[in-house]
Amino acid sequence: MIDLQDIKKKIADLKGLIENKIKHSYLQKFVEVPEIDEDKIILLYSIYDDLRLPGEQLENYILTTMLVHQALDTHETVPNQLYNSNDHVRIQQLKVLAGDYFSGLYYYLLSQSDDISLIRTLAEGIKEVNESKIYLYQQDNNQIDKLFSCIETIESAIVRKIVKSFEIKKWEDIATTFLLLKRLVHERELYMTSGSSILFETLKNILFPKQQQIFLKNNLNKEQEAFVLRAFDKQFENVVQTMEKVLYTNSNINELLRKRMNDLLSLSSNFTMNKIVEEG
Amino acid sequence: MKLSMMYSYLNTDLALIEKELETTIQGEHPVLKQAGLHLLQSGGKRLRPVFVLLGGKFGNYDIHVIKNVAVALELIHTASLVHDDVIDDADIRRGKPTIKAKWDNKIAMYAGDYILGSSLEIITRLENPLLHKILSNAIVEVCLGEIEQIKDKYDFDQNLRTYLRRIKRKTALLIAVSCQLGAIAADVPEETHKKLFLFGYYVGMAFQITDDILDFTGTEAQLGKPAGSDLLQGNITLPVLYAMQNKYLKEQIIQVSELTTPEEINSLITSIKQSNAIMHSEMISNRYLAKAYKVLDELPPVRARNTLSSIAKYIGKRKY
Repeated sequence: MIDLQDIKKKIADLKGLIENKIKHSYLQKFVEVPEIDEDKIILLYSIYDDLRLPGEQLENYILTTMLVHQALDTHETVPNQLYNSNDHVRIQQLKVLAGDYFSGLYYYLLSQSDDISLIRTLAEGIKEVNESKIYLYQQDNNQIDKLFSCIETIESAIVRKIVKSFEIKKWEDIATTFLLLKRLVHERELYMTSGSSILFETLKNILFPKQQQIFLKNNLNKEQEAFVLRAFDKQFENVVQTMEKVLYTNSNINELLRKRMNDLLSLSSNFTMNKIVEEG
Repeated sequence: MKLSMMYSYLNTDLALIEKELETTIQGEHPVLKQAGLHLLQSGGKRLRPVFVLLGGKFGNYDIHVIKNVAVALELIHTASLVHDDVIDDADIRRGKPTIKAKWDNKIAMYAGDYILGSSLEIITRLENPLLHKILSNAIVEVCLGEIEQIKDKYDFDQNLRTYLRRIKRKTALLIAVSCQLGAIAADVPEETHKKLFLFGYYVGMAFQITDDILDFTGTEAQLGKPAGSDLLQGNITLPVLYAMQNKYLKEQIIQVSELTTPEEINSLITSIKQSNAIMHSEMISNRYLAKAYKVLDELPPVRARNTLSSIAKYIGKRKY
């Protein structure tokens, strides 16, 4: 197995490669593209490395898969309201185009290496992610399980499609759980710090349909708030348990990915600790 | 003659494409279903599918193969329009509310990305590497063209070359590859599909120049937006570049900014219309059309060649 430092170096190189590819002098001036998700690079590296892909192909696959993520993440930052100031309008316009450009690049790069099958796999993933994003955005999930499954699809549909197309089933659970837990940690933090999280808003609407049109945290009383948090944590703990199981049953996960998964579990256990303290 | 009459012999195949568009553009979510239906009902000339089919007629035409190219190209075009409406903050397109107006920006972004995903899913049913190299390059170029368009807004120092490169990327390229990819999907020889690309490119250039002329000469009812909107939004088109050769007009044109109101620009629009800028622009458009006809002469004498010629003629003469 490759040692930790070697993998870290590879991941840093891959991140550099992606940064380089999305560089565009004019876009750079105005658009701050979302941070490249290093954890996704680690995960993709682990999957593609497991397939024993030759170096160049591995790089190209990670680069193009990350371009798709980068495109979707950039589009996620396009706001509903265009600000009136001309500079802001231009920034929003360029965000739309930057996302489109990154999508175009993924297709372009894979077509240069005649990887038509991966183009299709990623395209299927793009469709699934966006359809689920609509479900989440429209708050159409009326059951807790459906809501969490929708989040799971948004986070992992692309990687799952890859895993399926290469028939490496063991990675499905690892990828899905890792990406889902990461998102849940993020949503919980977001909710606790700012009170605003689409996941929690939807959860509130499922649990307290009367308040369907009221999305503000303050509109629920303390007891109701605690109930919402408990409902979240129940799901959250299930995912944590799955992650622990995944780590236990997959001894050959590389050191860096294992470390990231353990870091995430530590963060999650902090939540649980806080909860015990809060509940006194 | 109406445009659709020129290729009425393709109607059965176009109906098949329409049906295919209908099934692929709609996802499972009701919003996607509605948005898909809404986009299809908003119509459009389906120019790209027509060019794909006509390109295919120069080779082994198999609609079950070629339809994939036609549907994919129309979806790529549609996806870019859905996102363009977010960029332009446009509420109306072809007289109907846009996706972003009917729902909002978020839904428009998701729907646009979904449609792009659908188009790539469909085009990858064909495994011809050349086809993907050409199409992917065109998609990247179209994006770069749009980025450039924003960069060049209100830049009155730009020259003819900048304008032509922009409209090539923005419009001509997708029409050019429509003709070429239809031909490639029908296994035509390289020499022929390259000529079809050139034909599409020349026609596409003429099409966009005509569009830019009509922005001055058309009425609000014909255009679906007030005349002179391009200039008001800072897009420096061919008539503006020619008008700026007149010192008096240039002085007024370079005053146009984000702060200019439609009322303030009215008299300038009239002056540009009355100048020889429109005539000069028409001449350039006609030069592209002449090149398109010349390329057509070098193509095998199949029925599609005459149709392409009629379409080129229509584009040169269209009034809205």
